[in-house]
Amino acid sequence: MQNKWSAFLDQNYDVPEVQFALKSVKILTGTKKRFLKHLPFGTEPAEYGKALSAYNLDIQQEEEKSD
Amino acid sequence: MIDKALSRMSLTEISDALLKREVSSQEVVRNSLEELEKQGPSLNCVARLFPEQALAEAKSADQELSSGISQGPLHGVPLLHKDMFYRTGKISACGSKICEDYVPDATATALLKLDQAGALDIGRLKMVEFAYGLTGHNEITGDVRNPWNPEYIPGGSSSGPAAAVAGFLSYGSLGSDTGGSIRFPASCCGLVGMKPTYGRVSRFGAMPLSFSLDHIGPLTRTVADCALLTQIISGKDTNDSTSYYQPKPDFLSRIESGIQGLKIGVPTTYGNGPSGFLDQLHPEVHREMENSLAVFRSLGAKVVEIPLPDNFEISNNMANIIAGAESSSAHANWLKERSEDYGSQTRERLLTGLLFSAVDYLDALKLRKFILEDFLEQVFDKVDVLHAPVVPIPVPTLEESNIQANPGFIEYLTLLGHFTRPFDYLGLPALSVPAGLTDNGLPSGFQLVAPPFEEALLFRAARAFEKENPWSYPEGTSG
Repeated sequence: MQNKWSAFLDQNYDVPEVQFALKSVKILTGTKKRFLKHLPFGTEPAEYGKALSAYNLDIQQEEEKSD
Repeated sequence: MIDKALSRMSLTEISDALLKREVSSQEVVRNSLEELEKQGPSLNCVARLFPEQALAEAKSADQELSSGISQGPLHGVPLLHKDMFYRTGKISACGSKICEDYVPDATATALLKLDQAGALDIGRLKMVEFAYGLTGHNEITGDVRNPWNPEYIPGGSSSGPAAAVAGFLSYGSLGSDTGGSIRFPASCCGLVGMKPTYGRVSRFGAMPLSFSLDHIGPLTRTVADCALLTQIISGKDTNDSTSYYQPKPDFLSRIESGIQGLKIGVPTTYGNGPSGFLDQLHPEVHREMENSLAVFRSLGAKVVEIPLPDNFEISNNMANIIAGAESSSAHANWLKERSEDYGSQTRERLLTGLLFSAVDYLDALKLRKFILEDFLEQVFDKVDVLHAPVVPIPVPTLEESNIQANPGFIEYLTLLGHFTRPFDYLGLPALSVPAGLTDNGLPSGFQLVAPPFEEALLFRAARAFEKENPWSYPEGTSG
């Protein structure tokens, strides 16, 4: 699939829509490079959800204390 | 005969009037249906109505009230919602040709919560195709128009809800916000729009666009209305694994408490930074932001400049990568089988999403926690709420912003979402509030952003502002 997709892009590189799309993707993905080095090895996407969950728990505990 | 005074009541006012039996639900529903039939076509905001069911339910609501039974705070109040909230047996077209006959076999949790509060679901409102766009244009179902001036965009993707609520055709409406689709149209139409904390409101039964970024929330004419609807639809739902348990939310009991001493942060690059968060702000929008800050200062708030973390600047782009990959995955089958049935902009955007690699997508997801933590530490350790624009430019006309799939459309949409999309990425609660008018006579709003699950604080601050800076809608908005 990946090979077919790469071949499709190569064959259609001159199509303006493909060029615009590739340019957009390059712009969007290019900005993350300098921040990636701060990511510890083994970081998982699910850690965002855990962080929110911990925040929610903190708020609940604060509310219970104040009640 | 349409009763304009009835249409122009706020959600909380009409709820009170119904509870006190000053007006019947049948009268309110008939009036709403007449308004929708008369004014809906000029705004092109109505997808479909359920008139027979609405009148039958209104009759039942009146009978219950006469027996002393109230289902809840919205007993007998008619509401319409974005055409992406599923109800068993009712079409949800999602602003598309592809789903024009789609009849779901489940009902959205948010709708069930409104049902339990006594609200009547009387129809669906138009939207951007599959909620993928901020301007409100729709190549399939036609462009929704702004009630302030029909030549201008209402904003999207909750274009129909914004036009209908600002045009007095609905007392409030549910929308969705993946890159700004509640706050952006709220700002364009002079409404209050809440994007709650990620996980505060269940997305079950709402059309998915990007499951990591989708939020559900209301658009209303007043802050109290917005607080009431958000309170009703909040809560843990076993059908949505991303929803969080919360103590019973109470966004109303302290809403009138004022904001003496509240610390409001304003990004330091406000208006003149070389490459900061606010560098692309139009001078007229900047003026309205400054005016709103002056109101907050007069109310006793302390406005302080606050630098945003370096890594925050990539939030908009990371959100675009996530939305691109997740939406393209959701639409993969239709892209193969029914590509020609999409509008050109939606199709090109979804196809572009296929170009992101798995590594790009995972990087964008992995960075989210670290950018959030830096933001919480560097911003919310110093201030209570952050003040920011919503739409970077004065509301454009339908014609001048009709970019479709022309070269550069993704960059244009990225720019329009510059102030909204980062807070979808971080999942922080953000409330859009009308600030003033730009020189074209169209509304411009600001947003207040808070730490996770601090919606009550946003409503309290916005209510204080609203009392000091009362908002009115143009006569003639609704005929």
